[in-house]
Amino acid sequence: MTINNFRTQQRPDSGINEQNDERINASEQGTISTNPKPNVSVKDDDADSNCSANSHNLADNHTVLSLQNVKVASRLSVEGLRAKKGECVHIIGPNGAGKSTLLLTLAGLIEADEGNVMLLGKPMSDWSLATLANVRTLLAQQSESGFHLSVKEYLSFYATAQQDELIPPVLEKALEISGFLNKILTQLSGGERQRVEICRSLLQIWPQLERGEGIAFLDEPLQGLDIRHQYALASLVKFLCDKGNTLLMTSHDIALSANYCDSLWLMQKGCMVAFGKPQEVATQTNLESVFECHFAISKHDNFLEIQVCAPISLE
Amino acid sequence: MTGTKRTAVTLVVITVLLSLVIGVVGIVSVTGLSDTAAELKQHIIVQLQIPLVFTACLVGAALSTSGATLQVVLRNPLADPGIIGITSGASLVAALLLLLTPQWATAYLHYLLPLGCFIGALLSTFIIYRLARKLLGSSTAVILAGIAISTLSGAVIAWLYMFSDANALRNLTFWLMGSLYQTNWLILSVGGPLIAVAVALQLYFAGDLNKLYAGELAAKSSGVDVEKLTERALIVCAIAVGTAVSMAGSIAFVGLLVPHILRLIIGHNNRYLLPLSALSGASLLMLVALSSEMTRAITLPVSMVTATLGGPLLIWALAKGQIKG
Repeated sequence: MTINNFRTQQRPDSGINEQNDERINASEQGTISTNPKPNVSVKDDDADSNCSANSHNLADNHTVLSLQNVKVASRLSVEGLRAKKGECVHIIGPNGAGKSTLLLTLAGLIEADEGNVMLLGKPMSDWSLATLANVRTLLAQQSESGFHLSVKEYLSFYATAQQDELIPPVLEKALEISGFLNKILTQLSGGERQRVEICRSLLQIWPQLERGEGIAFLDEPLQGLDIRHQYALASLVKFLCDKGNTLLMTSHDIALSANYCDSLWLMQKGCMVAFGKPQEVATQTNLESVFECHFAISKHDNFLEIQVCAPISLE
Repeated sequence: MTGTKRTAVTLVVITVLLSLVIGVVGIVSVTGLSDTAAELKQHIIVQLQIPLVFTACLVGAALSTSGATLQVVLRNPLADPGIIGITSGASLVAALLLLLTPQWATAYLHYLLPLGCFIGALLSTFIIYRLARKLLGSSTAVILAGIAISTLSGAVIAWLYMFSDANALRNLTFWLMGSLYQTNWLILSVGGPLIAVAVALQLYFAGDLNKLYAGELAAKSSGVDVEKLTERALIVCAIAVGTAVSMAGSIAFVGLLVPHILRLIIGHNNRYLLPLSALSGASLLMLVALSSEMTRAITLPVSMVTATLGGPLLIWALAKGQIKG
């Protein structure tokens, strides 16, 4: 897999630009709180099939994940959300917006105080940790290991037994970790360690990912990666989704996320502010109200250019 | 992986052979020594030497396997049955029994002591676990609670020292430093199966323990119920260590040293590390028993020997940068 120049990369939903431009204008007019939906909702099946008629990903209406009125303590309160098979979801939002809590809840590692979380049509409470482990994987943000084991040994504990090679070629192309397989885990740089962790989490369900049946939750996988590996990872995530897997990742790189996802979820203070196609969610109004800084957004063909355009005053 | 496996298998063979040789030498050396009546010879072997060898094996295996398990479960290389306070509860009960048992009951002390130690070890583990759970629910909290309990029982033992007569004091000091000569067949027949089961259960946890290396969330994501595993591992370790302490007093360092040295040689895979820890721990204590036997008249306190052998080894490994944090 090569790293595509994202400017020229064709998005699957090409051909509906005019429609989308209108939507951006429409949603820019309303405030976020009063207008979270009609255009950007994926809750409604009809609206969804309208705006993504050409998308091969969403043509399969099979819902992998869904949330309904989920509340987790004071950290998360989400009304309704769903992710479909093969969907690539990027979640953005300020620090403490509840992105990690959302991922952990969806992964079945935090129990919701209220509401329903469904995974593959089954309520989360019906899943056991052991069966979940064969269906979905999670990359957590912090992973401590004070033990001085080698990268190779570390990865071998998580790889499934029937693999011929420890690191599948696609993973190696995107993550490039075979160079330090024999190094000690704790002696790696932050970015190298992050690449190893990403590899570990994906290895856990690699047979499922190869068949296009996997679900992965990656919490800030771009953290610490250099620019090349950031885009390599975004391409890897897209590649896996195109095979039919469902991947959800959080990110702080709005510009990258907006161009590499099928759906963009925008969160603030534990709530989902907007969700849907990136062009509809990453609007100036939405971003400025959530992130509290000025954005310049321009659209070139299918590429969204998003920049912070005014300095933030410290006075 | 094949390299690691080969090293592991080689080590297993060497350890088993070494244990056998040490065991046999231990028995034979005594057989050679006692050239009095054949009956006396037989009595020494059956009533003293064979229980000694068994005790050394069981105690060594229990302590080093539990050390290895605790280090992974608590994700702290410092964890050791002694440091996290499992033994301190046992020591406290032993001190109370040795110093406060009324005259008429001293005849039963031989059986009372192991039982009391066992209960003490389980009790302190229970307190440590509940305390840690209430405080933070993290592995660091377990260690902190353990240190608190150790300090407290150390203080109580120190107070008891002040109000005891010389003979009881000597007994206690001796017990606190560990001795392999306290057992008999009855205690062995209870302790042996307990330790065997506790060690076997730890080997059964090995696969799940491997997943803990990436942290709690990653382990959970890969299907390990971390809370349950921690709870079970702590209980199993408490049983193994409690039994070992009841049989041989408190023995320092074995649980810390053996797993660390082994990790340098065979790596971190608990499927190999735990059984090898059991075998090497058993060999180490048999070596100690043998050296005790060689010096004849004096029965050396075990902690003295393990610390004398182990201290420099650990310092050497630290200085070479092989063991860190």
